[in-house]
Amino acid sequence: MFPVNLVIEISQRIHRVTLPGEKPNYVRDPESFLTVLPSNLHDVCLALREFPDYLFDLPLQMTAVDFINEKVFELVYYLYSSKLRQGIIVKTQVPRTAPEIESVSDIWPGMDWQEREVYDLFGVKFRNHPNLKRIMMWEGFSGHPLRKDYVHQTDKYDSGLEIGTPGLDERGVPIP
Amino acid sequence: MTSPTTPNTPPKNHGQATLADGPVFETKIEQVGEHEMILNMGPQHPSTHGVLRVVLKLDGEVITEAVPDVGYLHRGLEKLSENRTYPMNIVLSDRNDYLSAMNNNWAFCLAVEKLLKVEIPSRAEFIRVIVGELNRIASHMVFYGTYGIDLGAFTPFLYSFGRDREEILDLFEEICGARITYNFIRVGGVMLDAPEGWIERVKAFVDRMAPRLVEYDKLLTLNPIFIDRNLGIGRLPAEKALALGLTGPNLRASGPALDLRKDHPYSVYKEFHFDVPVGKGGGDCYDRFMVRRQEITESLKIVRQACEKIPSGPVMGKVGRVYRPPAGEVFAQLEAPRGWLGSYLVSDGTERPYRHHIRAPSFINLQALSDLVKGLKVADTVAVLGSLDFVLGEVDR
Repeated sequence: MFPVNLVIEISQRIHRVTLPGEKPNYVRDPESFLTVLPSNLHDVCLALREFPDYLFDLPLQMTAVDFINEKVFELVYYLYSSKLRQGIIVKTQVPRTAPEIESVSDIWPGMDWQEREVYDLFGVKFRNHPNLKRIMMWEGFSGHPLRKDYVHQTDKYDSGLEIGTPGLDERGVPIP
Repeated sequence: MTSPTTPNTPPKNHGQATLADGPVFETKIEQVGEHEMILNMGPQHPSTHGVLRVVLKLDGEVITEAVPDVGYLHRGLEKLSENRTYPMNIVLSDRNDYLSAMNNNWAFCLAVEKLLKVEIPSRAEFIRVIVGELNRIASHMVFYGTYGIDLGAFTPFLYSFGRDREEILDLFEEICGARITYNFIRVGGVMLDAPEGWIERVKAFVDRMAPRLVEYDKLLTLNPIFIDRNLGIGRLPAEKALALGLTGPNLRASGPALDLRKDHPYSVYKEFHFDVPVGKGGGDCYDRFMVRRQEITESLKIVRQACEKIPSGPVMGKVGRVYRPPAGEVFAQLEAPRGWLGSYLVSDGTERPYRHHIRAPSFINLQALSDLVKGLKVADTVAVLGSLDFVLGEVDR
């Protein structure tokens, strides 16, 4: 599904792309992927979209992973080419302290809501996004729940049985 | 209907937090022209099939802008995933798209199996295909029935939802005990072997369905009023559909014959002969309806072939009761009734996933809505909404 040759070819054509090093004992899809610097992401995506040989015209998904020990958010873009019938993974990392990256929703409008979701749940800011607002959580919600250091804010619905501490009612009595 | 002022935004914040990001749809009086008005549709509206809110800006009866507002059903499934072991997560995946829970079980199991590298017994693969395709048929029957209701035809619903889908649910109840949330497909195989005579009963159901599909077509597909409500409404060109990330029947209605079962066959789909229906009318509502209607026929074909070819043997591979997949990351996807359902898993070697992202087809498909309804009449919004066939449980997760 994701041939290695294609990745090597792209990396030769687009010089700003680096191939990832292999990690031992790490299960990974047979599909290959590109790692790019966050500053180059938009250009690489544009090239993957526009090069007549690739035409990655279907934005399959984008999401983020919070690697709190490495102090980075990893952004993962899965793209698919309806012409070649194959996909490619593009990855980039942004620092946890100032997570910001160029939006690719101008290349693929299908990335619009997915970037909003990552902004909502991880707090990664997308520059030049047309409508960067929370999509899942309500407006006014503070914090980004999918971050690993997110502290669950107790409310009256907590049972205290599984996560968090027991909720308190108006009189300060724990709700069973 | 409200006057041309700021719409009454329902308070989602329980009245305690401050408005940091501003309302989702901001409308000032200056922005609304002299002849324009704002119409709030949902979140409680029968034609939105759940809790979807759409704010429409109207010029007379013509829609000039539509902003969908999602998130009312957000349960934080991805966050919950990180606190639960892998077998517990299969239960969660049922609640994702509750009209095709089998396919959701399957997508998650595919990802874990990729991490664990387990062999699936052949009989289990065939049972997975049978229940997966039956679930697709059941899901398309819900679409067929409710889409008729959306456009004012109540009778087809009684046939597809009330009679035929029930038979599929009875078959599911027989094999796994549940009718909606199955938790049937497990990592390494399936929960139980089919009970005695079950395969024959599935075959009998497939035989019963052939004449009933003729009924379906008489009731709805060839109904002149229904055709008038659909033809040429909500056209979506192929290029635009691809750029929006649409997959599944919604994409195939626009032309491209992308089907994971054909292009990247998972499980045992290589062994079956079936066609991939595509739309021929430029991706309008009628195409989206027809593709699903024809997919019922194709899925019945697959089920029949699977019932004939199913081998005997065990239904569970060698997987322990407690397992810790090795560290790594995988993305597995399959062709669910609503599109490409993906499961992205990052494992750190413990018994709980480090990160679990669900590529929910409904969520991504719904982005097409605001483009599609622009320039249409209000009544056609219901047709476009229905034809996109989304499930809010999957949109909001």
